[in-house]
Amino acid sequence: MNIPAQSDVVIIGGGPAGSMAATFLAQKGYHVVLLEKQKHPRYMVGESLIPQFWKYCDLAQVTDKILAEGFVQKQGGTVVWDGVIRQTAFKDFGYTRPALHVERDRFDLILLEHARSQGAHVFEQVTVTDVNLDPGGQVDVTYLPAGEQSSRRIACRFIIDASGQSALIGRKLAIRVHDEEYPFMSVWGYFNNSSYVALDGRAHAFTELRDTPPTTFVSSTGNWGWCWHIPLRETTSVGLVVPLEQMKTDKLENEALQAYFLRRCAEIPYLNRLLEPATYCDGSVHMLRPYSYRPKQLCGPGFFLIGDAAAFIDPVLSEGCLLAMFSAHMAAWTIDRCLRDQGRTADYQALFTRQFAGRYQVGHALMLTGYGDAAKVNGAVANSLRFDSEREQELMYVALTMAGRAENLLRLVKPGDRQRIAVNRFRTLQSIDF
Amino acid sequence: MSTQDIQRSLTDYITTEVASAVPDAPPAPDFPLIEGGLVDSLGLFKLIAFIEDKFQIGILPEEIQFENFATINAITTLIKNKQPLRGAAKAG
Ligand SMILES: Cc1cc2nc3c(=O)[nH]c(=O)nc-3n(C[C@H](O)[C@H](O)[C@H](O)COP(=O)(O)OP(=O)(O)OC[C@H]3O[C@@H](n4cnc5c(N)ncnc54)[C@H](O)[C@@H]3O)c2cc1C
Repeated sequence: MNIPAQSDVVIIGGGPAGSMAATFLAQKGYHVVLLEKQKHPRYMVGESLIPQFWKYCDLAQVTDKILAEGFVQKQGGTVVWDGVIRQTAFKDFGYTRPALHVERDRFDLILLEHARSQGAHVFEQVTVTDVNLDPGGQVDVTYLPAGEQSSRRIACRFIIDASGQSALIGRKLAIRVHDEEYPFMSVWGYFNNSSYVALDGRAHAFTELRDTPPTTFVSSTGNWGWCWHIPLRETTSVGLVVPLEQMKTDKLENEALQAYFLRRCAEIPYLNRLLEPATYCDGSVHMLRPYSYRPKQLCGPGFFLIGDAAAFIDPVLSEGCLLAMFSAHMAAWTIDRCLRDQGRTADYQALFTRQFAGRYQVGHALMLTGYGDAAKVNGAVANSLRFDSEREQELMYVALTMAGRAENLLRLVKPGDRQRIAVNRFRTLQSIDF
Repeated sequence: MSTQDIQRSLTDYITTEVASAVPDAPPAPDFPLIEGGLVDSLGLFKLIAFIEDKFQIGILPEEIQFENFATINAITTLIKNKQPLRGAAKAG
């Protein structure tokens, strides 16, 4: 493995955030090294992608490769929230391109290989163990290739931390804050042969998936908890987002996780019917807690945090991968500007912070439930919403309405804009037909 | 640079480099760029880089407000109200 000793930018982690940042920087002509701890394809949760992600793929010139993979194309969402069944279709918002359900091992592999093809120096099975963020001058990254005894270093102008939930720099600098306002955890697993809901409001057998595209199915489970049902090409991803308090009363023991997951799935209306013909994929249960966090700082001398390495919010809007790509693009733009005019580094880093913080704070405020207060968000944050197209705002409004939180968005937009975006492009169903 | 020159180069750049689909006609100076879908959050940063390099000015983080980028007229005003960056006075 010939890892260079010097680079313009070193990126830690090869998920969507890291790979996209590597692609954008390589396309601008910079020398980029990306170090990934695992070997792709590697497992990852987070399989539902909303149509906005295509604009980043277009910019990165990876769209054709993603289309060629033949991922499941979904047509919209079916949401059962507090007993009301609503359906929405992306095409009603004028989206001509499909949203996807992706196996993340394949999706992330495509993005990583693409970064390599664009000239990024990508090394897998290399773990970054430390970073040196000497504010005076060059920064460097310490890494250990798998199977080797001694670590080595790369000196660089900038480090991008895209290490996902590992949040290498966030932990080192102790700038990660757990989100007290969002006390949830998640348990998920996979099923073979589950039925699914299509746009006709009916349940379909898994074998029809190729001919009749699915919707993403989401249902509330009481006390702001919710569940997802995402048909993939071979299996269906099913997950629960559970209030921590409820978990405490459920007194979940580790060995009982699978039994707990299956029992809860069987209790949730409609989800249980969809899973009737299905078989659980043994050993596929996963758990994540604590759940939600954000940073006190998004960049500093010589470094940027992007994707989940910066912040993580509840995935009810399927925004995780989108925020990963947004922040990757923003970091690449900022680094390019900084390297062209070093005298303005402070300005550009402030700009990165403002844009990215605005984005995830909007996401966070939208997520808040009975637990938090969206009104705390300041005007500068609401400003970032205004750069979204009308279509994006409308889609967000509908997604939030379906998840019982539309008022959160209405509080953030200017009074004059409320009526414009509050168009309810969904239909209410009396039942889902089985 | 005259107001007209600034407007012309902004119009050209937005039409050819920023708009995701090439518009039928170049946007008028008071066309709503963001609401009209010509400039999105990605295009905005391409545009900022262009403006800084072309007119040798620095856009400050707090100036990235909807109002400053709403139309070609608004961007022109933003540009005209700024001093060139140090050492750049002779550029162009
Ligand atoms: C339960 C759940 C459901 C979700 N559902 C959705 C959804 O439906 N839609 C959606 O868009 N998002 C969803 N998300 C969020 C989504 O998964 C993440 O936002 C996304 O994966 C973030 O990408 P990333 O590149 O920042 O991080 P990751 O994809 O986590 O990638 C980080 C990479 O860094 C590597 N790494 C870590 N440490 C090191 C190190 N020290 N050295 C080198 N490499 C390292 C890891 O191996 C990994 O490959 C969900 C998340 C959860 C937890």
